[in-house]
Amino acid sequence: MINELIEKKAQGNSFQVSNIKLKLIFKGIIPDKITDETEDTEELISKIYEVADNFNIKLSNHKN
Amino acid sequence: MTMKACTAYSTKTTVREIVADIKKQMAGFDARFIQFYASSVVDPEKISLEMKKAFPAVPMIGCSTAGEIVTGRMLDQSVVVMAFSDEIVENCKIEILTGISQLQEQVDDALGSFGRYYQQPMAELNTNEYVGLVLIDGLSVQEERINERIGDLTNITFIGGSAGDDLAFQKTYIYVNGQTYTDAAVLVVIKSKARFDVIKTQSFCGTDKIARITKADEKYRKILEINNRPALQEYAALLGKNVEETPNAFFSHPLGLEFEKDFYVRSPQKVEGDGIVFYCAIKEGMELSLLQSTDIVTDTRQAIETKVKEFGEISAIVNFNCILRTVELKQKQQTQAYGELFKDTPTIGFSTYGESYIGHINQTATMLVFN
Repeated sequence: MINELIEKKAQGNSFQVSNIKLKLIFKGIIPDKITDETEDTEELISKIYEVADNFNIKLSNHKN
Repeated sequence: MTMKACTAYSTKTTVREIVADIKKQMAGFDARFIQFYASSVVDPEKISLEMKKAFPAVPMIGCSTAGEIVTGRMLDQSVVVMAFSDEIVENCKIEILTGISQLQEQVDDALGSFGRYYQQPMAELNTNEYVGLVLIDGLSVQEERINERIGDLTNITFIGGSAGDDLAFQKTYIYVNGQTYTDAAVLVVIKSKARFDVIKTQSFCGTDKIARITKADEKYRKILEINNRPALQEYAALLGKNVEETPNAFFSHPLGLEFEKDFYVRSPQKVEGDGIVFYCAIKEGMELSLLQSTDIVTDTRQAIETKVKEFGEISAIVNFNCILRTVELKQKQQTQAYGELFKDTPTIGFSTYGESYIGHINQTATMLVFN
């Protein structure tokens, strides 16, 4: 989910990936610490959805 | 003149003399966009008005400062100006945000306006062609929100700084096309003909001491607990000093958010009870490194040289240089050496109350450079 968020925001521009990761860090989400093994806590999921909304990005599994 | 950018400065005493002096230095230059930075000793209403009268057809922004930078010099009690020619500016659009302490939709509205002007949503603007400048009231405590919202809505680079008032901490001013504002920010989006890039430099190295922010009052930029202990006590422990000595070490040992071998500095301002107020907000859960200061002149020289090697010749630099760096340069009598780093390139800048680049950062110089 976090990778999809970054990819969609970067719009295929690999240079932007670092900037977007940094934007997420300033928002309190550390992308490089989120792995497949990271527990999907409600807090983390809702934070990512909130950022996606702010970015005006629709994530593929977003219900709303 | 065939320069891409032209700079001028004046240390004269009256606004009329200052503007006449600047106008004379810029005679013959076909300006497409002007930015000026003025010491707080200069009357804010008059300087904005008179600058616009002097260059009525040119889009213009500026702000009050805590010190000025111009090609080859660091100054005080002056006004510094840079004009871009059409070799840099193909087009530009300015938006003023007012009443930012009650910030609601102003950033969205401004970016919407840019999108309509350039006939393309801001989220889709080409990041290699468009670049933004942002100047924010340095006493508004709104820098995080403004920078964050800009970053939400666009991927183009916005770079800038927070207006100052020569360390009086009373009132800072934003200037736009002859008007003067407080509690305001100004955004500019330039469609650039010249290639551009960013230099971000801060003179610190990391230590192995980690500060995990376990309790914070983000709105007031106050850290209450570090590593689950009262912030002041833990900061002192990380420094290996007693609590009384700790504030004296803030300057040389701020905290740094490490990302891709670079630091984004968060500087402690003052002690409040057992807590510490910072110059920018830090979120709970963030892990930061205790930093150790290094030499500003050496590091900035290296940052510029590295950029020149990577980027080629630089035709203009806009330098948003933290006031804390300026204070340190003054303490070490290095202002002349710092100014001389910029002697070969048209440069403008000022000593800021905070720097903008992706977020709100401290004790850093954020520079926009044009090829």
